Amino acid sequence: MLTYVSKRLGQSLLTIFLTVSTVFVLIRMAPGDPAYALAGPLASTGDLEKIRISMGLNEPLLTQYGIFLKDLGAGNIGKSYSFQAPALEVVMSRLPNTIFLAVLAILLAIVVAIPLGVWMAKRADTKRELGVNVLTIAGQSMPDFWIGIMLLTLFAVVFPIFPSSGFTSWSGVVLPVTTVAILQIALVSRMVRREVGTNMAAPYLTVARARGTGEQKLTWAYAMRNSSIPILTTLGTRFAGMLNGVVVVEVVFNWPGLGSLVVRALETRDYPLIQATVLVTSVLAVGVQLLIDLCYPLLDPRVRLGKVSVA
Amino acid sequence: MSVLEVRDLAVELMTTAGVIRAVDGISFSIDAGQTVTIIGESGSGKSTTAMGLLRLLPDDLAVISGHAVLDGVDVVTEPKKFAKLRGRSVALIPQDAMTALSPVHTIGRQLGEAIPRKGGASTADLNRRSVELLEQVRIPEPAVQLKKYPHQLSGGMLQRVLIAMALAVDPVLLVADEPTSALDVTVQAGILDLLMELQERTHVAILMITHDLGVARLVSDRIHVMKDGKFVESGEVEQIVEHPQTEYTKKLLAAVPKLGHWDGEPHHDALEAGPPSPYATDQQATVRQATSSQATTSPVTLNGAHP
Repeated sequence: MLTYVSKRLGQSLLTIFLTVSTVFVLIRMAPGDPAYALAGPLASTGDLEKIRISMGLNEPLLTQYGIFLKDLGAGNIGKSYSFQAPALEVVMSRLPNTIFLAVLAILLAIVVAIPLGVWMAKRADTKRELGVNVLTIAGQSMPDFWIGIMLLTLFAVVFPIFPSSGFTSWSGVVLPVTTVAILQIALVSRMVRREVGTNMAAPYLTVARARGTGEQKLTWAYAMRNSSIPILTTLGTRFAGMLNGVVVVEVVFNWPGLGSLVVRALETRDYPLIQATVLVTSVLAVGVQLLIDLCYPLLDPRVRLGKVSVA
Repeated sequence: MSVLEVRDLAVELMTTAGVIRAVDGISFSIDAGQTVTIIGESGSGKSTTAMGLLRLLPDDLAVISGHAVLDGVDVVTEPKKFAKLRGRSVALIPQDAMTALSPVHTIGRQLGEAIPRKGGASTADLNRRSVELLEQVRIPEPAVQLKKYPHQLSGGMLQRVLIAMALAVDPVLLVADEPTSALDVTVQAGILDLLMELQERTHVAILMITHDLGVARLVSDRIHVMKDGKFVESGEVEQIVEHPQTEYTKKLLAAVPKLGHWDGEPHHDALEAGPPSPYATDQQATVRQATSSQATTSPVTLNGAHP
């Protein structure tokens, strides 16, 4: 078990390193010039050159990468060009808002999607289930910015129940969280329906029913319990995805999280800020994935002790 | 006094292509302490009979009709009342032990669930009873096995666990749906011996479903030969084996491999290989009348019908 954990930990670190390195190269290959973005269209060629030298962008790519790694080792990612503050600090100040949004959205998704998915599995192919099924297809097909704008129009403009933007009170949380959660609910409930449906038809369930086990227990203790690994994996992947900043929704609702920050960082070619965001979000995403992997042995005895055997 | 009384039982399976009469008006009864075997090839409807009698076929897929009384409850007309009998007066020994237990729950947990809890029974009582049951089916080190998961036991051991589970409730009827088909031949004999010994002790009635004439011969009091959802021949074991009356039973007997010299010629009187198609031909399938028992359709087994 210990070797398994250390092996997975090593893989995680490698993933983070490769992600950060790839982004370092890619943003420098992309068109656009941070000096120009900072100084504006009226700056002279000489001024731009001076700014580039002060940012260290005149050096060859490999030298820049070497300096970046050295600084990273010392825990320094550089100063954001546009905020004129350490990039990591800027990211960390925005992070709680995104985590807050993601946690609320995933909790809402769990609370709604799991019972909904189980209900669909048990009522499969009835008329009412078909209706709900169509709704979930709609839910996963609608783009999130469109859902966001529709909710805004309906509940902030036509019926002004909730504020349209910002993060000032609890009522301001409702619309962004709902927007993010709708897609997750649609995806997760369909997934639960499929998994639980498969397990409800499994031979062991018929045998358990034959020995007089009650319907509730069959559903939750057997079918749901046996579906827990794929469901947890999906939830974890969705959650990690949300931590990367729910970009569009944050922009639509003017939510002060990582998503809106990274959009601004990209617009201004703020290399240190982009790198800091990528570093933080990749650490989080990989961390969540690691945590879920470590849960597998607890959920399925066949995965224990690093021996995977599917009977 | 018979434990199970079946008259004109029929099971119709709803499929996208139409209705299939998998079980077509069969009648039989089983007395306490007796073993009645339904034997037939794949697709004859024998497993559908067993699962239908236990009401374990999905309601939207299978329509059961006729008359079947088990322990005073009408299986056909009182499904709710009958559901309470499952795991009380009637128990199932399933076909494939390897898939018959939930992979993420321990043997002890699943066995414990089958044990009826009388008022004030503690966890220790439950544990003691579980160990006792595993001892009855001759599983070594029962206390250790209770903590194991299904994938840690062999198929033969799992089948013993399932028999223990079936016995936990003191049933009046055991439905054994091909209990040895998935097992190694050497293990089969042990399981059948165990079943016979337990029957002698508890006087439980057994409905045995099998395609294996050897098994039927060993355990049965009466045999019903099933083909296309109907009984083609019924009788005592010796009578069926020694003096088969119908052509089908004769072929079934001839299909049993024999030791000895082989002249290199194929068996001309052997049964056609493979299960019959549930839809006799495409044309017949489209014009078939759902309710007509004269329809020339062949039934399917439970496994074939399940999605």
